[in-house]
Amino acid sequence: MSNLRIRSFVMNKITRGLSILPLAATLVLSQGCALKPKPSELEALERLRASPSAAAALKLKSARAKTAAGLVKSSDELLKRSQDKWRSSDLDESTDAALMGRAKLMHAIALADQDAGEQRIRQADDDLNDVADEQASVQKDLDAVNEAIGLLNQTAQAKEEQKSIEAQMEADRKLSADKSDTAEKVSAAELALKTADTVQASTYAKAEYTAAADTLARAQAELQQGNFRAAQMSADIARKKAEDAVAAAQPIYAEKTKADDNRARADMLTREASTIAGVEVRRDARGALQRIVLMIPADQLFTKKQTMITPGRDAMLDPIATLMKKKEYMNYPVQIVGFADARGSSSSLLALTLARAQSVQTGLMSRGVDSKRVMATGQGGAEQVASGKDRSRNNRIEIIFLYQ
Amino acid sequence: MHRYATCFLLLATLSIPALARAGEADDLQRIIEDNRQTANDLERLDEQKAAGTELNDLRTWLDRAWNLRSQEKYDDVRVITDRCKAQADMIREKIAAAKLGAKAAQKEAEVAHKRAILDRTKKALENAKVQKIRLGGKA
Repeated sequence: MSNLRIRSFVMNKITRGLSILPLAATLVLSQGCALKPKPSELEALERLRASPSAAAALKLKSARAKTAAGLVKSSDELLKRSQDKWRSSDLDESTDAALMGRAKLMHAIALADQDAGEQRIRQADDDLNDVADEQASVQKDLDAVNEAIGLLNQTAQAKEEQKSIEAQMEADRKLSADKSDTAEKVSAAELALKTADTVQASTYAKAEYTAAADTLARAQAELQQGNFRAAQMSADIARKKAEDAVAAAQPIYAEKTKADDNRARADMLTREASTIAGVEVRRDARGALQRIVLMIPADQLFTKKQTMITPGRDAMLDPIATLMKKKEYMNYPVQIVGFADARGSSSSLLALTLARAQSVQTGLMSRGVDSKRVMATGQGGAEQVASGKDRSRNNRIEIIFLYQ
Repeated sequence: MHRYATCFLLLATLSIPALARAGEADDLQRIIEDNRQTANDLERLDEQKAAGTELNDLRTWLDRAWNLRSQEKYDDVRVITDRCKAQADMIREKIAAAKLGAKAAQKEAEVAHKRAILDRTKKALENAKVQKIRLGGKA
């Protein structure tokens, strides 16, 4: 009984069980198919595995390649295990496997990074060498160009210095020429002023002379100060003023000099004439005409009423002729004028005196006196010089030297 | 006498697993402490601070391992310590990679610097050539 109940119970259960089998299977399957959320560690590993870094870890060519490949392989196995465990809902195992796989994969990636770093270092070293070589080459070129520039600069500087020196020399030369020209002009002005002195322009052209002297002094001062242009102008003005002064003074001076000469010559002539025995000398003037009159009493040459020189008395004409022929007195025009006592007819006195004057003229000409210098006239009884018992003195021959 | 021997053997037999478990705990403690020391060493080595996250993970895992050891879940502890060893190895290589990267960056910076100097020198050369021509020299 008991067994029967038990069997019945079991069969019942089995029957019910069979009736709910599809449902249970569905539940089991649904339980199995309803995956739990993927652990974040697994997701992270999957992402890392899919990254270029992980791919790079498999492409190493260095000594680390084998180790890296082993690590990636191990990581892949752990990834698969993690995925399997996840699918089997063993999340702890899945997570552990994922974390381990991630560590190994990152290890591999670190090795790849080391390779990359070393590669960068090698590349940088190569670049450094290349850059150093290029730098040396460029620096060498730069040094050469700079050296050339230095030489060119030196050349240019030398040219500049040469130009400067030439300019300085030119300036000095010009300065010297200016100085020389100025000194020359000042000298010319000084000479002109001295020339003016020779004609006593300070007296005869005082205004021009003073202006010239002042301007010359200014020119000399400007020359001292190195103001050559102004000095030249002042010197030119001074010279012109001095020349003006000369021009103004010269005629006056010449006239004065001539007058002085004439006076001196006349003085000398007078002195010399005074030494001639029997000759009385006087000086007078007729207007502007100066006269040296050698008065010879008629009786010393002529006998009474005679017109011819008495033989033996003409000796006194010798010193007179000698005097007239002297070089100093060659230019004096000479009048030989006969005078007589006014008693008697004037016509006969004129004839007498003229004849006597001509006789003297002839006597002088016979002694070598130039006839062109000598003019004989008779004045008759004109110009009486005495009266009374001395009236015979009116009979006379006057040899008159004329000058201005 | 036999009875005593039997008791002793029974006690000894019973105490072997306990002793073995105590030895394993000590062993795991040593491993965990070694790993902590390793983490400290790695942190000092990590001049570029390239593995900060990974070191944090490592320390977190060691803490977890320590807790599991306290709970006498030695198998779980071993799983974690194995992972910590792999993590430490990875960190060591990552630090080495970072050092190499830093050295590479330094060299590349040096290259860039030298290139800049080279560029300036080239520019100076060009300018000098122009100046030379201006001064009347040949090109």
